[in-house]
Amino acid sequence: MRYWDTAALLRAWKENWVPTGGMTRSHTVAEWMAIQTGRGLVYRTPQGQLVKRNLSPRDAANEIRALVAKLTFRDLKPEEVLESTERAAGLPGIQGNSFHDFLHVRAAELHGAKSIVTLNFTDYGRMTQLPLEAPKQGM
Amino acid sequence: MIHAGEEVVLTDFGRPVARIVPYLQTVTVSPAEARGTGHLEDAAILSAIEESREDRADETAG
Repeated sequence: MRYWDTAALLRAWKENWVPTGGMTRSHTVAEWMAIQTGRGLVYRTPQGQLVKRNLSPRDAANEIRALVAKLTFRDLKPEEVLESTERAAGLPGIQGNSFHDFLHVRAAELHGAKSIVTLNFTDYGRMTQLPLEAPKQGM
Repeated sequence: MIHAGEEVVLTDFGRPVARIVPYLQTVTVSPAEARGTGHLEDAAILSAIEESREDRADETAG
């Protein structure tokens, strides 16, 4: 089973398709909503102009529900999060905001994911031996 | 000449001392409008995640 992170679900949403299966965790929904109803995303128009767009909370709620409809939620237990802090302390470069990424990785590992679907190959590649996949329709 | 939408890093003897990030007003649109707005680069998605996490840190600081 694949693990889907926030970046992968934002890419799927933009391309207007839904993952056919896999897992994620509740925090992914929080990150997705925070972006889509907060600062928004920066798009490049066909004219080359950068513009920022977000969604209303109602629209975003409808969109995320549809987006994760075929995913299973696999959250970390408190002790697993604490164990992750200790594990992170033994690895180089996992500090600050990258700890959020590390918790995605740990959720995937602890719940037996076969791969992680993400756009963040650089950071995740330092954190896990699990295969990393770019999001593609049909996954 | 600095163009709108262009990020600029100010340096002092080659050492970066400030970063000017273009201000973009956020406009709320429908999901269909957002999808049709234009190209969404992978880097823009990763930056949005990073910024969102920084927002949360600012909001909860203290």
